[in-house]
Amino acid sequence: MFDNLALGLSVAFTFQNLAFSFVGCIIGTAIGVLPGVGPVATISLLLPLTFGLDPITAMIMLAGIYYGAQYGGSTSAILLNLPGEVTAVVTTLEGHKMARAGRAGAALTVAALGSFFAGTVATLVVAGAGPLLTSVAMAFGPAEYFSLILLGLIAATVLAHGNILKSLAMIVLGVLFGLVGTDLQSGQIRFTLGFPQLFEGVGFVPLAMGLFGIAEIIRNLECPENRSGTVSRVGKLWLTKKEFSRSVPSVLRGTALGSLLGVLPGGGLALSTFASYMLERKVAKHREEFGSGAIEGVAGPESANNAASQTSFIPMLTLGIPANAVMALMIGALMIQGIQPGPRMIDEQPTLFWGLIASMWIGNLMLLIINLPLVGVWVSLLKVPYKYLYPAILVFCGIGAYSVNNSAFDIYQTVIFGLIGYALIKLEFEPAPLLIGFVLGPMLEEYLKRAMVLSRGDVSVFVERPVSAVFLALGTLALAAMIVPNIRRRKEEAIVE
Amino acid sequence: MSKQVNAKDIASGAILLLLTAIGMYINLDYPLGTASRMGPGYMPFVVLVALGVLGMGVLLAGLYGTPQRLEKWAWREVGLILAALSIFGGMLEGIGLAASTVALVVISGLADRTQTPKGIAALAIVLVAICWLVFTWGLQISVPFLPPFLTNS
Repeated sequence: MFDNLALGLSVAFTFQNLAFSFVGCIIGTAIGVLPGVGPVATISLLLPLTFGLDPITAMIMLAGIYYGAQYGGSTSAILLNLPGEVTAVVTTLEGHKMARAGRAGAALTVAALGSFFAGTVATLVVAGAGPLLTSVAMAFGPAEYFSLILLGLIAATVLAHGNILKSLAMIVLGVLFGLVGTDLQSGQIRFTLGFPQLFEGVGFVPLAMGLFGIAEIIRNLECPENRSGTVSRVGKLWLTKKEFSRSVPSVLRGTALGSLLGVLPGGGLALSTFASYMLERKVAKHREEFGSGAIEGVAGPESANNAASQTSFIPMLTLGIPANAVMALMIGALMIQGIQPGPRMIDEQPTLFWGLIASMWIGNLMLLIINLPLVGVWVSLLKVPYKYLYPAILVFCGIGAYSVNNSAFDIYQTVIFGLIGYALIKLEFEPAPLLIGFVLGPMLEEYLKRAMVLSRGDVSVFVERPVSAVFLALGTLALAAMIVPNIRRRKEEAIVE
Repeated sequence: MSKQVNAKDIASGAILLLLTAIGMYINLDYPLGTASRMGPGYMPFVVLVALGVLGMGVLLAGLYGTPQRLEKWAWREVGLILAALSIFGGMLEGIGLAASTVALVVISGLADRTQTPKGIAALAIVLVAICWLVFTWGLQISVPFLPPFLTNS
């Protein structure tokens, strides 16, 4: 494992890769800190930046953008009380209260230090668990893969809040979008509505950018309260001795919790932050401070969040299955680079695999070095009025979408998906499962076809092969666990009425 | 209203069913094949059946669920933002990056009522400068910066 990490470090420590990791962290933080722009939106907006690079540098830069965006989100959560996405909600609970009490600096520092520690541990977890899981996955046949992807898709709805039927429908719709284009086996062109530009399928960048970027802009314009607030003063960055010693155990607990939950398909990110917050509130000595700015409530969830965002790379790197929308974006980026993530990646692309893992750690280090000293810059970014930001974001979206294929058609696709994304918000659909379905759809079809050729059309192959059966059972259980409480609640509601 | 229903879910379910119907109609053109030799229409058929079932489920749940009204759409913002981006796309290759950026900023700027003409002008100038620096000079994208018919003549 250490040989491999050394290989990874040697890849990541080239001047070019360090530079792009640095640039990724900076831009990621700069965009992520903007109120109302969460990590998923940030990455979708910045995705086209990486296309001209070679795969490893592109992934390293994307990882930098990801960590930067996440940390930027915590910054706006703490200073502005505006969570860019679900995971930052927890940070606003205690972090913003600390900021109100003049301790924003301490909250930012503990978030950065905790994240760095968690990131370091989680990087080692990824390095250890990755190859292990890969060797298991190598034994999978098409049937196992099909069931695993199905499980991944179902799991993607577990943490989506709101109506389960609607989340499932989003996944199915995503799969359907994924099927647009040329069928590889028969050469048949499907669902292109006559547009030759769609022969290669719906554009990944326009889809992500439209659903998450453009739709959010319209949403923010519609509800001004989503994007403005008073920026708190940062104050002193140093932690007092007491604050430090109170944070240490929380960071440790958060790291452990996050590392474990992050591996779960379906994105343990939100789950791990909430779980960590609950845990801290239970075990804290100063329980009375919770709700009015307890530093444990920042240290724990922030560490958990970062650890989970790291270990959520494990299913992506080893199985090619995205645990959350961010990982779906990463897979999309890899596929645009011509790389199919999966168990063969570790053998076929060892430099990419280990370089990426090493650069995770470097990305975390950079965040620590960049973010605390530059916090003043981020604060001034927070103060830029939204009315100047959104036209700028739109321009970059437009150029970004265009530059993927040098085609204005991709800009029009972005427009369409922006409209779809806004409609989804209005009808209370979650866009994240759609993205995951879109990425996994083509794989699902391919493995289904292969498995059925092998079994001569016998569907029972999926339950007869034990591993596949286990995956399907887990998926069914997860579905049942989601649906049953819903029905029970409905019944109770009906009785009350 | 005589009976309160979840209008959002009913609309959602109806849209999903409509999509299913359109998808099924298009999918008629593609051979289904058999389970062991799937044609190009097989997987879409399976997926569309799932979509239809879920759409029906969402619709039914809407009839008996907690009442909810449809939300109003911010048509002005939707129209202006999407129009700005579309026009940007239409102008980019023929008229160049500078003019397209100005057009995008001006049109999308109308979507926020607190904008002032001065602010929009300043923003347009700054963004055109940034675009030139980053995209034309830095990344050397293939799009012309100034209108080609001005520079070529």
